[in-house]
Amino acid sequence: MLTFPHFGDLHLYGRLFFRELGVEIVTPPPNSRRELSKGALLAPEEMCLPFKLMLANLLSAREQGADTVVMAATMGPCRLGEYGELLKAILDREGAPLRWILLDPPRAIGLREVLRRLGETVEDRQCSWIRLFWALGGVYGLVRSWEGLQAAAARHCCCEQTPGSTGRLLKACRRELEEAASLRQARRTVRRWRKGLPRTGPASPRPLRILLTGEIYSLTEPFANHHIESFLLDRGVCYEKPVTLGWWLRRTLLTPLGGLRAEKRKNPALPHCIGGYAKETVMDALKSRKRGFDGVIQILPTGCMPEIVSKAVFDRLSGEGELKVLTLIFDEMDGEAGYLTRIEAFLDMLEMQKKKNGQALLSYKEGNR
Amino acid sequence: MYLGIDVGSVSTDLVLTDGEGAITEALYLKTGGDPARAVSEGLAELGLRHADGEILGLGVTGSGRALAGALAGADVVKNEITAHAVAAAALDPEIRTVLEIGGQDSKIILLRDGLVFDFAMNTVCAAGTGSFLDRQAQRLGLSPEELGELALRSRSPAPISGRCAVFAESDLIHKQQAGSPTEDLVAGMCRALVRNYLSNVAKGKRLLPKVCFQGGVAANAGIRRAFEEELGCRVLVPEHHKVMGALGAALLAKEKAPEKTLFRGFGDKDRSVRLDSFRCRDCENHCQVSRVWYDGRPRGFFADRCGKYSSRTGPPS
Amino acid sequence: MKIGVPQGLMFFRYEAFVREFLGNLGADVCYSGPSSGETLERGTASCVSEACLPVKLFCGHAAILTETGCRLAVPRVLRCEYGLSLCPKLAGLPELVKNGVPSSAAGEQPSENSGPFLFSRPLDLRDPKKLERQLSMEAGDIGVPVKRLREAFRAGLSAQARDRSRQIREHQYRRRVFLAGHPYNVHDPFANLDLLNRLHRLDIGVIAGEAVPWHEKMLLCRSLMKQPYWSSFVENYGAALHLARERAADGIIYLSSFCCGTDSFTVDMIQSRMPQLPMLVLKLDGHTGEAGLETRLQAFADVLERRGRLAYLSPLR
Repeated sequence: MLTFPHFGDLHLYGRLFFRELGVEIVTPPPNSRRELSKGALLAPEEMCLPFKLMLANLLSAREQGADTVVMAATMGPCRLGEYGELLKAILDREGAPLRWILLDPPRAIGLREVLRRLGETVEDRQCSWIRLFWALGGVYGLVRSWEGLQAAAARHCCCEQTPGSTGRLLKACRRELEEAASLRQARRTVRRWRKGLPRTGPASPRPLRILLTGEIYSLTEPFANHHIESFLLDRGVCYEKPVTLGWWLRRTLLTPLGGLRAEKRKNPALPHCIGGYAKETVMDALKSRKRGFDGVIQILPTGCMPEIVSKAVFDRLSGEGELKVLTLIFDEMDGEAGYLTRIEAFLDMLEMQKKKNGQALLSYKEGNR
Repeated sequence: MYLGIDVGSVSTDLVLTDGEGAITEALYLKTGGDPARAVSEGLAELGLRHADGEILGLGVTGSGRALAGALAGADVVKNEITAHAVAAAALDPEIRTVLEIGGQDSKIILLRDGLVFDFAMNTVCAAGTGSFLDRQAQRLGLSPEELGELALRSRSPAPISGRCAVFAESDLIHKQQAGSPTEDLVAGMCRALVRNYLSNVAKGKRLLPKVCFQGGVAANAGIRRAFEEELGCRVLVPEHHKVMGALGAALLAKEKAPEKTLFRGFGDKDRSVRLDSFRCRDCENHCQVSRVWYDGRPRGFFADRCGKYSSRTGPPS
Repeated sequence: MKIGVPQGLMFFRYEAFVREFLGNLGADVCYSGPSSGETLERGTASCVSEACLPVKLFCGHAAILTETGCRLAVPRVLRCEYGLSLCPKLAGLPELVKNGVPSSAAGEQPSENSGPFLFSRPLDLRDPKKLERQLSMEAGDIGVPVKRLREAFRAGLSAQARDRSRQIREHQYRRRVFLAGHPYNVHDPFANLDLLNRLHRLDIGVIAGEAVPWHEKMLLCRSLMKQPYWSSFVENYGAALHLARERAADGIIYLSSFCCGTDSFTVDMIQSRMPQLPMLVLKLDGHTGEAGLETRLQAFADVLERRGRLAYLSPLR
């Protein structure tokens, strides 16, 4: 029985992908406080939050009968690439060994090795390569359309008729996806829900627009960012989130040259790739101003090494008034109230500045609930 | 008149204002672990002197704002950063820096032309908060007010590390055992708290005059002097520094100018107020929804993500 | 032009090379000197608060040096020898310094291509030829002929190869421990509160990771599921395994900076591989009391004493 740790909507895609190949998988229970404390108990104290959650996921999955883990990995220098090693060491120590299949990027181990490992996941099912590639293509299509739907929702949530309807639409669609029987059905579901989105473009007094950026796990996994996306959706704040699972797939797995291309783009504030996606974080934030965004929210887990460098850049830029950046650092200790206060105050600040500049009127609904 | 309520971790403040920034009445109550009780008691006390009809709008703020909003029927629910900024800007439009130290957190707000320009808030470290000061005052057998007065008398403040509450306390004990006079100890502590604040919360920010210092800790003259020494400029402490958050909330209610206020009236003292919560299982969020019971009837809900309950208001009583 | 060299971070590993290389250039070189309380204070003020102690110390060195009017050398090492990586913060070091110590970037910028600092182009130490090319691009900025720079580079390389000062292996004490950690923690007596001398007073000798030949360390990392990519991981994990296998060390003291990403990983990997070997993890955060450190070291010395030398000899997996 295969399993893999949670990573945003990865469990949706993974379940459908492997079902297509006739392999049953175990989906660990969704991330929650209880899961987190389970992971935090065994993980080294200073390890970052994503690690603790993944450890808990794997432990729970094993209890549910999983024996093999598939995990994508990078070649650092951020910690995410070494997760597998330490997870294995801890699980072995706890008497819960699992078989590991690490999917490193093709650049590090060669495309042939990647395919061999991918083949390992389906070894006990006789399934043809054609079927495997077909499923890969299908799942990538699903990733694109589902992320497209979410991005459209984030763009249009400011012009919804009844408050909170966009957020509810996304939730309902996700629930349906979780129960979809096949890839084909899942893609149809997404298409159907897409029609339910408000068609109108942003209202004429341009609403507040926020760029969400930062560390990839915290951005994609709602529990690791205290559901910031649904908070913004319900508030009717337009946002854009360039860093997603699909973005990562495109960048790392599908176009081996993509990384090189990104390397070539000039970034005056952080000119070289330092690991993680700090360079992209800074790049997106720098461009956001020209693209008409009002502010940037940067999200990172405590101790995230690459994002600390981008925070240093942001600290200076926002100190000089060039960019409005709110940095939210998530760890397991903190309650939700502090974050919400900060986000609300940040939105208020942008709103008032905007009013002063005479660009727009009140656009996001005030939180008088 | 507009009413503002600030439900903090330590104190619950209520302010009545005419809407021009002048305070008609201000109450400062201890929250004491039961915010619902504190809010309803404060309201009942104001109700002795004022009629429900006088109130044109209610704004609530503070960490317990959702609760207060559900209980009293708020027109505006705002976070405390915006509320403090609005109050300071109404007090004096030339204020460009607001220092706020409360019981559980500390904030800095930079204003430019009366608008928030930048802010920071610290909730993790206890060394820069009022509860740390209270604790140390208690340990030295002083009241918080005495502590400030005593600090002013010191000629040579003791060097105390302010990075962390635990280290500061052990440093303090060490210096005490080494025989430093109490006034030097408390002055050193004030300076340590201020330095910790400036290097953590206000790090990398340009603090321009006028500087306004508000929040419960602003009553402490020692802290104020330490700020003046470190910043090299006068630090203004407004008369109603303790209730600035509530004032800001009231002003925000006025700004919104609701046609008909959602305010449910002052009520009176012997109504029972209690809180409970239940888990909503309608979606995968499984929110723990809180419910306010007033007089044995559910009056308001909060802490649900989707707003299904909190948009529903109980019958007016 | 005067070149300012902050004595922090990888300077502790490549000191021999840096001194020989810059000395042979014939340029005016100014070293910041060993770390001190002032370095830490300046560093804390001028560095992003989430950074670890060594990075803050480096920023402190840089802040002090900028005042002397030097052009700072802030190297950006992307890959170490053997193609291994360092912490991302070291790859982004020029940005951390530039954004933290704003005045450092204000100085002259002789050519458009290079940033405000020297040696901030990506450096790859894997291939000496490539490194030579990368370094010689700076010749124009420094104002020395390329030929002289190349000669100095070669002299530096051989000095680094000759340098044995970091391969500490002390036999003259009763007990020996493997002192693990980043070179900038192990070899900086200010950061580690003069740990070496404290250990010597307890009759404990030290073996440094550099004393174990590199190929041995690499060999022992082979058994892992995935080839590690951090230099510091191979350095410490490999050396710990090797020394345990050789029975050369009685225990491990791991000097880790508070919030260090690579250390949090390495420590646990060593612990889960060798649970029997006594291990003491010391977290350096710049404000640990000396008294607490001394107590822990003494307790650890007692542990070593009681276990004797043969306690951990259970076969390694």
